[in-house]
Amino acid sequence: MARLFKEKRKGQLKERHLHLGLDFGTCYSKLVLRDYDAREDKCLVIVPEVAGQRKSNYLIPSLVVLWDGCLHFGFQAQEIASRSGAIEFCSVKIRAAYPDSFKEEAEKLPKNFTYEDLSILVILYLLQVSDHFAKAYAMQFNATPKLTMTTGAPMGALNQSRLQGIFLRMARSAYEAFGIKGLPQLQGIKLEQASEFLKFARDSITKQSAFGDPRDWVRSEAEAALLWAYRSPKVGPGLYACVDIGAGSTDSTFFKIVNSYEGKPGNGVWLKDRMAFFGAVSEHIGMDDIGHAICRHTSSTITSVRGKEEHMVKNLPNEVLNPCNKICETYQKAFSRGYELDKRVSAWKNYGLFLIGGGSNFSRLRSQLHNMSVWPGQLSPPKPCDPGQPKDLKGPDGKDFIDDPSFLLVAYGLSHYRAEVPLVTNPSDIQPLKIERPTLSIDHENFYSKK
Amino acid sequence: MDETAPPNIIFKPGDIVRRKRAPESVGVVKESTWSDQIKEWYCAVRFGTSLKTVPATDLELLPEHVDPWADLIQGSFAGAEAFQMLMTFERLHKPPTRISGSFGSAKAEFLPFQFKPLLKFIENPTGRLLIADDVGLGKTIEAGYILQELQARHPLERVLIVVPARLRRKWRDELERRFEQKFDVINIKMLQSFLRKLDSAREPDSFSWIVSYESVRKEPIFDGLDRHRPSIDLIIFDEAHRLRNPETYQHRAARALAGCADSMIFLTATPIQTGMDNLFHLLNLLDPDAFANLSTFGAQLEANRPVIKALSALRGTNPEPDLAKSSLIRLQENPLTKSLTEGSFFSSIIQRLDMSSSLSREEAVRLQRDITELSLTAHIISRTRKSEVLLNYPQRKPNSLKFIFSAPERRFYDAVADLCRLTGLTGRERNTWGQQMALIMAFRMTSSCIPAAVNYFRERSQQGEGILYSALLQKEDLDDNISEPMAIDDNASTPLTPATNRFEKILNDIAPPPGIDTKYDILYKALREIFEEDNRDGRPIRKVIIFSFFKRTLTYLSSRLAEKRIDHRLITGDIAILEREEIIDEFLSNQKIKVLLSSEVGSEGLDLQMSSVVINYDLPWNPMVVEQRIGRVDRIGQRSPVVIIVNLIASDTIEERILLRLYERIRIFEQALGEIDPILGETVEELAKEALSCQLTPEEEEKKVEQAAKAFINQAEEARKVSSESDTLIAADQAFLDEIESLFGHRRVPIPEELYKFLRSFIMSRYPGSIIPESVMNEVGEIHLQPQLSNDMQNLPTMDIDIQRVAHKILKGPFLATFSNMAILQHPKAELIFMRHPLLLFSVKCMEKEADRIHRGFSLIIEDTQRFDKGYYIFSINQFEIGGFRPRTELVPLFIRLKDKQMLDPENSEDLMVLMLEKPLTNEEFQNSSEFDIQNTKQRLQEIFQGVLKNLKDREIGLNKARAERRRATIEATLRGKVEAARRRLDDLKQKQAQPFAIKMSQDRYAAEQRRLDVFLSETGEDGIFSIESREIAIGILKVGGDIQ
Repeated sequence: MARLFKEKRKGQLKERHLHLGLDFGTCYSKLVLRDYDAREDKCLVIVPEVAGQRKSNYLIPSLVVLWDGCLHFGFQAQEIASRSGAIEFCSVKIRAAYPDSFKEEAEKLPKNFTYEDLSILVILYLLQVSDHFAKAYAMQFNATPKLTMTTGAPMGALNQSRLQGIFLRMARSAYEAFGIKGLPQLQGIKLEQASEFLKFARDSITKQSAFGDPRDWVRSEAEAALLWAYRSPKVGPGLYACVDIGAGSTDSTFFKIVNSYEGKPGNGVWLKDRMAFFGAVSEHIGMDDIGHAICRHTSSTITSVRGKEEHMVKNLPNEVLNPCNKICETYQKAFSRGYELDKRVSAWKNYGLFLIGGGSNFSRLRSQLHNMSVWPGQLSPPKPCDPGQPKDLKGPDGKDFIDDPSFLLVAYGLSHYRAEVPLVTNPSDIQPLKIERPTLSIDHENFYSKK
Repeated sequence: MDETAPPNIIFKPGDIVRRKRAPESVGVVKESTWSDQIKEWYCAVRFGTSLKTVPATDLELLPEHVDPWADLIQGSFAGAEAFQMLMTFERLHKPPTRISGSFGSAKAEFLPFQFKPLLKFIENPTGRLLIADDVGLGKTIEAGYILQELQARHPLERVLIVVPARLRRKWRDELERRFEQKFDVINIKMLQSFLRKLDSAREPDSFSWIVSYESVRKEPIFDGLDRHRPSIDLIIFDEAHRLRNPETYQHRAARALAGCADSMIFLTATPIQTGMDNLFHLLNLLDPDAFANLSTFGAQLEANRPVIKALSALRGTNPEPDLAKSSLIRLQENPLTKSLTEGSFFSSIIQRLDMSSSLSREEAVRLQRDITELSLTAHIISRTRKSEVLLNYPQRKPNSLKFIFSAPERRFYDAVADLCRLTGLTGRERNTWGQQMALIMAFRMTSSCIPAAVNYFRERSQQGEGILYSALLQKEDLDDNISEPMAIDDNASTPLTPATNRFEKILNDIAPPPGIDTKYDILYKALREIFEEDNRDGRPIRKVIIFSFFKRTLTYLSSRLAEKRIDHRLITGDIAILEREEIIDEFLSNQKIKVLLSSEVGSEGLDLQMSSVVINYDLPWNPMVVEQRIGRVDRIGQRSPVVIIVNLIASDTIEERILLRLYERIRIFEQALGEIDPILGETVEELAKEALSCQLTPEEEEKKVEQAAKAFINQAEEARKVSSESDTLIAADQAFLDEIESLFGHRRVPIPEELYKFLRSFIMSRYPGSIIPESVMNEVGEIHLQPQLSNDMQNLPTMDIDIQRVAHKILKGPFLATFSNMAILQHPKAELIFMRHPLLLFSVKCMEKEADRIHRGFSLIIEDTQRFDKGYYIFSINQFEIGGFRPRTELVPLFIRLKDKQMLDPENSEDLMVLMLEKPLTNEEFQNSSEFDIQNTKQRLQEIFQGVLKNLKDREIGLNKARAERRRATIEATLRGKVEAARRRLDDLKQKQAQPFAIKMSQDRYAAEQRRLDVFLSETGEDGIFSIESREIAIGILKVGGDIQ
């Protein structure tokens, strides 16, 4: 197989600062690696190599499979899942966040393992995949990677301290384990060995008193998905809505990009410096629900339907599109939450609508969302907005990424580190605007004395 | 992992830093934060308007003095995008000549030769110029460039444009559409009111007026102007050959206006029609001191001959300096030119010619420019011949489709002709002029389109208004296209009862039944053939313009074409100009619309060169109108090699026997005839009338047509001969054109693509949310700019009203714009972004403030290796800002090939720099400079730079001194002449005890002229004003060929 990068070895290796945006999805994960030492803004989509062969797709299964006393991850897990005696663990991230909702399923977990453990191991596996790619990439600059990482979590989860703690712990533990010298590749790892790594990682993070800003480790997926919209030179300050339609969930948000003037009058600059979220709703409804509806009317499987929904719904009854209405409802709900903070029509006029995520390519859904008024009779349908293609997003070979970036926007957003991530005001931080009826008070004495 | 305590912070908030790996990125540290993940400091740095995370290890404090060489030696360099941005900035900031800002500023095709008059005008201290270009080269645009340049330097308070009446609207529309200059067309009443204001001692307001010769040539008007001499910043006379007879009122009016004008421009294609005296009278109006009397003018021209010969010798690819020298030496023999040869200027030219056995193109151009200074006429005449600049102008291909009327059509046509003859032209009823005209129009309408004429006559009859109600007929159906509106006497409003009755009888008895229209059938067949031919040849469908003199004919044709589903549009003078432009936009841009139906007025002033087929549905009775119709498409910008002209003519009609015969004889359909004497128009009309009245036998008709044609041909031939002879006496302009073309060839001015990239990069980095799509580079597209930009533009301390205009436009929302002069032709209402556009001016002003921080060391790659040896080159691009009598900025690129340490010759260096501007790439691989011996090469380059500077200084100081000597004398004489004239005028007014206000105005003028002279004298020392400033604007390492190791 041809090498992606020309390797150069001249003298001592330098360090290259690379930051990984790790979008740990329910079904699939996506990885984007940002090079902070490149001359120009640049981040690369990671397409993993399996057994020396580069995959054709950047979607890495988030699946974990237990077979023959070993844990398997990613593509290998997908292969092994069909073998007899293999136990599949799907959507481990959601199960880790809400263990009480999946108590029954916990029974099939290996002894002394939790869904949180499996999630840590998935993140660790993804870190290893990224590291492999990062090393090859850095070598062309005669360098070794210095890797940092941020993972994502649903915005709703980060509003609750318990869930925030879980996600933060998962990210930090995986990163600590990743630092273990001589850590073997996780594929086919024995349960006992996995247990050891997890113990080591947990102990390490317990000992650490400082771990920096939690947002270095975990940020909201909704916010990350919008980071390109925020940074895009095509998008100015103003009010926007965004519906991010994924395979299993939809995140709808109403937010404002706020700018401020920095410098002396006439000699300063306008900076976009903040995102204020007025309403955010995350629901477990997505393209897979449309896919399942299609499966019910055809003899297809969900995997064969994915990406072909547009064509397949053509001759099916309208009820197949019922999930579209539910997706639209999340958008409506997000507005309703924002509306509670500001009930003036003028506050919501002329907003722009971003549609992102894989589902945004489904034209029926697009047009339904674009033509819908969230406040019938008061607000016209919004202006469709397109932030364009991120210029800094490159394919795994370093050339411009020309495919649809919709699926990658969360990982792309997470690949930004620190200052590049705007300050975010969540709905819970915004005080509802009280509209007070103006009253006319006349100070009679003054009034007459002035006369 | 072990916990590590953070080491001390390296950068504090507010520190100005740059990236080591990309030193062009200079920013301000907002904060430094410790990363617990990798135990390192990261900084938040604001670059422009974006906040970025940068590892502290990649940052350094910005040095007080950025030394790009030192940076390059350390392997620190900027990339290709920064190089392009810097080079565009530098060329906008310090343009190569004083007139560069005007390049591409008109909504017209960009043609370098059209800037020649501007360059001459700016260099001529008298502020007078005769633009004598051939027909069709765009004299209006050339005058517009001068007007715009003067406006940009100093707002003009009063501008007057004097034109033939028929061209008033065209001028107003052209100036508005192409230059966004708003002018009012005024009539004699407004001139009278203006004079009354002066009479009552009130200060005249600012104005931008267009007025006709017919209005200013009235004696009270020009007497009044001469009496008050109101100060007018600029006066332009179009078709100035009208002024060549000093006996006429027009000439006297021009002389009075010349006394008021600060600057004055004459435009004519035929400054010489019958002899050199024509030219003299024009020059005498422009500069009475230099061209004082006719008797010496011939001697002046003769004395000029050696200069013209010398210039010719230096023109072309093989200049002959010896021939040039021997010609110039002859100037010493002529008493009129002897004084020119006595100064150091002349001897410096001879010396340069002596030294130049083989002249470089640049030096030949420089010499020509200096020799031009010796010409007695060159400073005041700018002349460009079509053959010099338009090598492939389209060929006209005429095709007259003759057809035979069907029997009913023939009967109707003959009946109307008889009626006109019997009742109007030769009958017993003695009709007024207006009534005669009405009859002729009825006849012409019938010739144009029988069904439209029948319908019209019937309508009038049913409304009971009388068919030949001449005043109404004229108002409704004639576009006032060729001359002043025809005077109509009072009797014209009387219905022609006998004619009306007979007309009604003709309509009832012999009008052809509906559905019979042989002419239309021929037209439809012709259109089909054109479209089928295009289909067959697989080329885009040609757009066709069908002209008719009558709106009724056009409306009728419109309904017939609609029946056949041929997409078309209709324009007439009834449609408001803005709406007409929209229709034209649609016609030109929509592929489906194949046909435009137009009256003369409808298309007046509009450029329709995107179409290449003209159909004359009827033939005008004036050859000038024929020329105007064809001229709409046969003009600069016509891309088709052939312009098809189709004439639809019924056999055995007056149109065939008189008009077509004469027009074919004088070959009007085949070639542009230049200025046509109005007499020919009158002759044609008389001939047609005579033929209509049946006063001529067929033989006589033929004879008369032949006589008229011969007279015209002789006159045209004579004019051509005289004009051609005059070229050997007055034409001396090639060097100006060469100079302008060299600026473009060597990319001394940024091309639209560079302007687009520069503006986009600037706006997008500072005003996010703005949208400037790439398509606007070549097409018209919508751009969206953030309101903050408008705010900042309005805060810019400038009085430039154009900046305010654009700032307001931004606030209104997205607007159409383009960087392409070609695209704007199809969408004239869009904003044209050129070098001096407010958006670019603003961007440059903002960047100026940060110029010290710009990184100027680059590492670039050029992959195209066809011409240059592969390998590494060290380069420096140097800017020389030269002040003095011919101020300019020169860019001098220097390259040293690393392989053999050889320096590239100037010509190759120029070409390599152009390649670098066109398609540079960043050389990311270059990190270790030790292989390149940069230190030594730098020293070598700087030595060469010093050598270039010394040579330039030696040459320019000497030349400037010599030029100063020559120019100072000329300018001083001109300014002193103006002071003297103003003083004489003042004395005269005082003596006549004129009104106090007139005396005050005259005093002001005298004071202004005196001030101008004083300033000039104080600013110019013995050696003239001279300065030269030089600096390296970019340096770096260039890799030619992508795959070398």
